[in-house]
Amino acid sequence: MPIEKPELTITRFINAPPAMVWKAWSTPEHLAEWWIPAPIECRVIKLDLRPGGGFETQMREGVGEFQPHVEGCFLEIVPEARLVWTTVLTEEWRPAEPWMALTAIISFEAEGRGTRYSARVLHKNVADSKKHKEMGFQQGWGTTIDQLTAFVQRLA
Amino acid sequence: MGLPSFMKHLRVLEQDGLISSEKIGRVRTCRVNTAHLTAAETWLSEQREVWQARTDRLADYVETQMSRKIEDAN
Repeated sequence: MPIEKPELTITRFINAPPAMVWKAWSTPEHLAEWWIPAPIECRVIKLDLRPGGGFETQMREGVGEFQPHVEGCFLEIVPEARLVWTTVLTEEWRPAEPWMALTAIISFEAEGRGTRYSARVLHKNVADSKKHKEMGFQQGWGTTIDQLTAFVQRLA
Repeated sequence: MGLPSFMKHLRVLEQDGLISSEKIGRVRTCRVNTAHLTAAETWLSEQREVWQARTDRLADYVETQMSRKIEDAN
C-alpha cells in the first residue's frame, strides 16, 4: 500500500548500558539536557514514573516565559526496559485534546555492552495531519505519488 | 489483487481524502488529491526527523556528557 500508517519507529544503538540510558530518560535534570534541541531551554515539570503519572515539559527561547511543550500521562513503566506515555491523557488518566495526539513506546534493550534504544511513535490518523498543512508542505510529494502510480500501473 | 479487494483499498483512500472518485455509467474515475497526500507524507517525515534528532541527542548526551557529569560528581 502506498499510504503509510501514521506511525514511525526510530532505533539506535547507544554505547552505554540500559541502566544509564534509562537514567537519562527518567531523571528530570538529565532529561532536560537532551529532550529539546539547544538553544531552546527545557524545564521538566512532571516526570511521575507510574501508570497514570503525569509527564510535562516546557520550553523557552531566550529569556521569555516558558511555553507548553509536552503534556501527557505515563501508561506503562518497566524500569530499564520500557516506557509508554500518551498525550491524549494527562495526569491521573484525565482525557485531553492535545495539539498533537501521540503515544510513544520507548524501549531499552541490552545489546552487547550497550543498548538498543527504540522509540515507536503512534499518531492519530492521516486526517489529523491535515491540520499541519499550513506549516508548509510544498515539497516531497514525489515518493508517495510514484508508488501510487506504480501500484495503479501494475493493475492495468 | 482482485477487483473487490482493490475497490476496498480505494474506499479507504477516499475516506481519508487522499483520492476522489466519480462514477459515470460502468466507469469509475479516481483522482489523486495531491495536496492531502503531500500534507500527510511531509508531516510524518517531519515527525520522524524530530524523533531521530531527539534520539541522537540522547545518545550523544549519554555517551559523552552524562558519564563526565557522573565522574565529576564522584
